[in-house]
Amino acid sequence: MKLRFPSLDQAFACLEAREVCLSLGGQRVLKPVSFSACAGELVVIIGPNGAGKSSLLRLLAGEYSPDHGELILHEQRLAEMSLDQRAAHISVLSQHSRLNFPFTVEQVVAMGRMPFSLGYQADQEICEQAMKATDCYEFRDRTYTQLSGGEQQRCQLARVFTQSWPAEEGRPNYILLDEPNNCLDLSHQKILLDYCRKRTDDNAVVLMVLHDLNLAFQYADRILLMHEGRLYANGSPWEVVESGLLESVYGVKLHYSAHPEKNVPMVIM
Amino acid sequence: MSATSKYKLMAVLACSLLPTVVLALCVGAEFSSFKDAFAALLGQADNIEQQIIRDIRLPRVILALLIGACLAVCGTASQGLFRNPLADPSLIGVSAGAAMGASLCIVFFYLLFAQVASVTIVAIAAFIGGMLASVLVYRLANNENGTSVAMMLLAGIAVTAFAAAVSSFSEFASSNAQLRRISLWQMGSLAGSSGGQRAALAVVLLLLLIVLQKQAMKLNALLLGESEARHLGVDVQRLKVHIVIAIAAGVGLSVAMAGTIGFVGLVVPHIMRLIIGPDHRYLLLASALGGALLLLIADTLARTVLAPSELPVGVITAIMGAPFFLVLLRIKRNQLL
Repeated sequence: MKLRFPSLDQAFACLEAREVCLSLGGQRVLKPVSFSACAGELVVIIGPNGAGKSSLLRLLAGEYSPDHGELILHEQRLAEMSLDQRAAHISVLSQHSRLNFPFTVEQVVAMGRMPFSLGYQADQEICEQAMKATDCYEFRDRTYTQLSGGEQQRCQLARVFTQSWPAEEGRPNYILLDEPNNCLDLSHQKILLDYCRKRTDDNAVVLMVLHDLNLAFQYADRILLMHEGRLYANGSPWEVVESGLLESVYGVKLHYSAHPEKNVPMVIM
Repeated sequence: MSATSKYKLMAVLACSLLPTVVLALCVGAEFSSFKDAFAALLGQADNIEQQIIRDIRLPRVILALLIGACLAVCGTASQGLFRNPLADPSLIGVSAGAAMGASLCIVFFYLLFAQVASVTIVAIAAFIGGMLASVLVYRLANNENGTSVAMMLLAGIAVTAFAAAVSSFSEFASSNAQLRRISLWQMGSLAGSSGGQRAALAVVLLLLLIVLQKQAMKLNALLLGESEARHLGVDVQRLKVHIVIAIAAGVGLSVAMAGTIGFVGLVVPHIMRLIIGPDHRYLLLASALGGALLLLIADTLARTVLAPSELPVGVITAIMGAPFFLVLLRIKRNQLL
């Protein structure tokens, strides 16, 4: 099934949360939260454990529906979009994957093309590129269940990138990643984030949860600092550091300096 | 394994069905030669030979093929639903639920209408029982973190125990004629089916294969996890309803017609997955062929090893399947807790 989309005005190419609240099991996990992420932006959500980062990401992925407020994609309410439409726009990497059937890496990655297949040849091409981008092309014939944690993570990432492939010139894709650097070694973290940057340069929107503040500061266009279900800060890495909220939110003493090469802040305990 | 070699394997399976069928027609309490068997099929043998082969063995062979395929396909589907290779309908209580529905129906239909329920009504009751059991076990074993294998198997034990108790209870409430019918049916036999029953089973099997084959890609995505499948655009709720209905229909009808035959749905999909991989686009059909082959062999053994008396076919499948299950449990031990 091929899906076609009208070419979208850049200005509308945003994923937007308007005053969303969420309760899970009687607990309020998100108190009114508003922000938007637009085409070409790499947005990183940071915050302590239990701050509501993953809940926010899942809400945007359509897994929960908000108690109050609205989620808007291209001026259209997310709640009114069909599952197919959502899957064609948004791809999601969850924190834990539990696949325990012996698919090969290639088969897992190819599942990313399910929402809008462009035909066998084109899909094959896309999968190959995505696998090369996350460095799992070498072991594409191996069985998923026999891979190490980091290799499994790279395979899942390739699947997510495969799903959010730009179908047309300028069509933005929304890539939501929950702790994508889990299990990855330093070089693969760099490969992953450089690739995310490349995708945002191609007009994608990447929204990810990260725990490594320095990694977040180096790559993010914008940082969302969350704490106790609220959005405490929303701005560039320097703005977030200068707000002085990091210490109180994390509850530890922090020291700041500047990155020796890039114009971004660095933080150490 | 490439797609071509997967189809080749299925062709090999399909081809090996033919000699097995011929063999199954020839052996039994009376052995016949291939020549006699063919003559009997064509209606050119003497009376007794013809009766044995065409009227007794052939229907039984056909039923074994159909039920074997049906159970294996249902096993494949339920393992996909639970995202676990141990989820065989007979282990997680679906078969027991179906059996409970069937025996309740045999007894209470009689109490209400003073006649023995027809196979169609028993099959519908078995379908409902199987569906209730699968929904219950699925609810218990699943939470947002996925399927708990321990919960799934424990819930299966509980449902099986409850269903067995209800079945025994209904035996107490039944008349002699019904008791005979219940106990005959509980032993699980592939003998004595009518043409109409076999036709109904064939239609259900075909429907199962078509419905599930159409959802094969979605079943694959479901193996990634429920939310992952949803992110890939799969309407997970709808898919689950389809699978549960399919399993309950397949298992319910099999149970109503041949009693509980365990382990076919566990062993066959597992072996097929080892050979051609977990991709449901190929696995469903391969399992159907493998299941047909396995149950035919099991049934042929059941009626020859102690000839002229015969064993319930469930005994043979359990002897083959139970050790297999234990080995699987041992291998998958780390996933259980």
